[in-house]
Amino acid sequence: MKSPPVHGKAAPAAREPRSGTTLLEVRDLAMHFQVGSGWVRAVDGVSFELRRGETMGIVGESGSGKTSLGYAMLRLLPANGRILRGSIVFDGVDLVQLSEPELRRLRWTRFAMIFQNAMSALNPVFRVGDQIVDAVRHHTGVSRIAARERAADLFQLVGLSRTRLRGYPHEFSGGMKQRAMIALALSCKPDLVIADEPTTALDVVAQGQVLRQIKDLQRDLGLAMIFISHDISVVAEICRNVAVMYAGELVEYAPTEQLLTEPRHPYTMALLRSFPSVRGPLKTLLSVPGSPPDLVRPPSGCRFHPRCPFAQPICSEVSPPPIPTVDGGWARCHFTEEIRRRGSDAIDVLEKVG
Amino acid sequence: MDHALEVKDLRKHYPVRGSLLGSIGVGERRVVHAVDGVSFAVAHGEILGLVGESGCGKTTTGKLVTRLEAPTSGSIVFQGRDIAGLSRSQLRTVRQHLQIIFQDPYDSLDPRYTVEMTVQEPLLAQRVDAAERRRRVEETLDMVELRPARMFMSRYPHELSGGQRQRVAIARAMIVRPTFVIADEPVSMLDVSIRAGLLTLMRKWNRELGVSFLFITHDLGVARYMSTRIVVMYLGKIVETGETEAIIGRPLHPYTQMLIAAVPDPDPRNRRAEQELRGEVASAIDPPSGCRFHPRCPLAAAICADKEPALRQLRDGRLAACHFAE
Repeated sequence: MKSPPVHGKAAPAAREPRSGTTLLEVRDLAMHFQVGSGWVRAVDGVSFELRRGETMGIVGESGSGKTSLGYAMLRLLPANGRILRGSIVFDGVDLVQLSEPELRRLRWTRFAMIFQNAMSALNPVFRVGDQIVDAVRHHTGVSRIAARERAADLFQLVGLSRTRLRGYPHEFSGGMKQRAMIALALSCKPDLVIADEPTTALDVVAQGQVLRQIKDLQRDLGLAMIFISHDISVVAEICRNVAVMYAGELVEYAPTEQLLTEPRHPYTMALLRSFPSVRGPLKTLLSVPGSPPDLVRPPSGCRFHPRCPFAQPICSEVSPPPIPTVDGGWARCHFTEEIRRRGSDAIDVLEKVG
Repeated sequence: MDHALEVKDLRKHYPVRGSLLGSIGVGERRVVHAVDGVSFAVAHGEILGLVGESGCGKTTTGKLVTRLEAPTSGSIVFQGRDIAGLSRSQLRTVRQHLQIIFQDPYDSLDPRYTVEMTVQEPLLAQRVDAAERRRRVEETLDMVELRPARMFMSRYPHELSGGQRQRVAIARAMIVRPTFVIADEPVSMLDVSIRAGLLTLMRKWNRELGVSFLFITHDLGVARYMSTRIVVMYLGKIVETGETEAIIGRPLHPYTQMLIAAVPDPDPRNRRAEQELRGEVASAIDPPSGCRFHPRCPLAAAICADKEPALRQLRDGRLAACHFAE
């Protein structure tokens, strides 16, 4: 039983690795959710594009809306959440316009998600292999034998021994569970995988192992991936492009190296200097004064302005548009050009307040 | 007495719960070797980093040193006195000088207590009068940069951000003006943009007030920022110890090498050749024979499974427990 074509577009045709063409285009997406004190503007006007086979990172702190964005992209909304505006065009189809059954046919088969807490995503009373076999059969309708073969291949792909298929979740370490979750996400050969903090619960060596596995998979499968994390180091290891999220908005987007070596938004600059590195010379750490805003009533203008050492009157009045930087990057800061001109002098300003 | 703290051959073994045969004395009693013969010293005014992955015994070591847990054997000499066997009441005076800060600012504060009630609590045991308590709470809140202190005193934990909560937990430890603080992952639950502030604060107390720290962390970057010397633990044992910069620049133990190689780095200028990351941490119930790291070690030879390597003195005053490290 094949998934029926959606909007006249045959699903298998899209599997051709036409790298370079757009796979996902998010335009002005807004997802708010209701709490006692009003509407939390968790995702508020987010736009970006992802090409086939591309890996993009979304970096932000807790409460920045990065996880909400990940869920909203797949229209997995909390009960109190609502998409207010915008479009999510995945391979030519706007997910915002689809019905729930239409969406269900795409989830797992065309795009899949890996969650932070793999420990609880697997059912403890069933063998891990059986859970993968069931998922493969449910979504692709192949025979049990074929699904078993597929599960064994998947385990091999993520570096797990096929004898582990007979194991129960409690017999798996954290790293092994996360690998099994990756296998599950890949089970129906999706074009896009969204991973939300997939290595955050792991120890550093296990994290290193899983990151390397993901890198191999990217290379071998040409998978497009959105990697959401609070940890810019982790994102930098595996992503070609990085978007930085703050208070429900993307504030900067750039190729990874560009973002790391020449950040053009003050928040990115501070973020890059806020954690100590194991390599390179020891640097003074910076902290960003104040705390992230309440997204029920976000600050006017640029949402970072109350914490920004470069803020001018215009920053509290006008929300800055994306200003192009280099190599297709952009920064939503009125003074991004000035920051570039001032170079290390701009860092000194940050050091004074941090 | 030239050490603030000296730990010798510290051990903590937990019997495995739920083993019925073991509990009635039939069959083999299974034991978790959480900490297994650990020795180190912290100099006055030093910050010693204690580094390792989960299950290595670093948190248990911290709890033993503060005597929140009783060691199975070994000595803990603090201010010239072995506190390993002290009773609860005897420990009360020790706790004025020795405090611990925990990882989770959500877990360590009582939601029904105001900040003032939480922070003043250690003073109640010392029978400090109300006016003096209030004065010291204010002073300590100011010290952890919760300003203005008076405004924060009447707040409840749910009205505070994660970073503010951790500052309250730190204030609670600092109000007795300890000379020694055990900080167990004090910033790992916090967002990166507010971590730096707390780390800087602790470094300042170390520098200006001479407070010694045992700084427990899984994060080598944080350990590097905080401490001049580190101890690296694996499965209940110390595998390497020495000057932080020397270890990070050139780790001698294969486990330390693997640990450092696994740390992701955002700076493309720091890219390095990939080193193999092999296997998984074994169980502390039946730790591997000989060197506990041997099943994962790229250098392992026959001797490694047979003979446990002792901590040996190597270059730059460093100690490493490996038959082949040099």
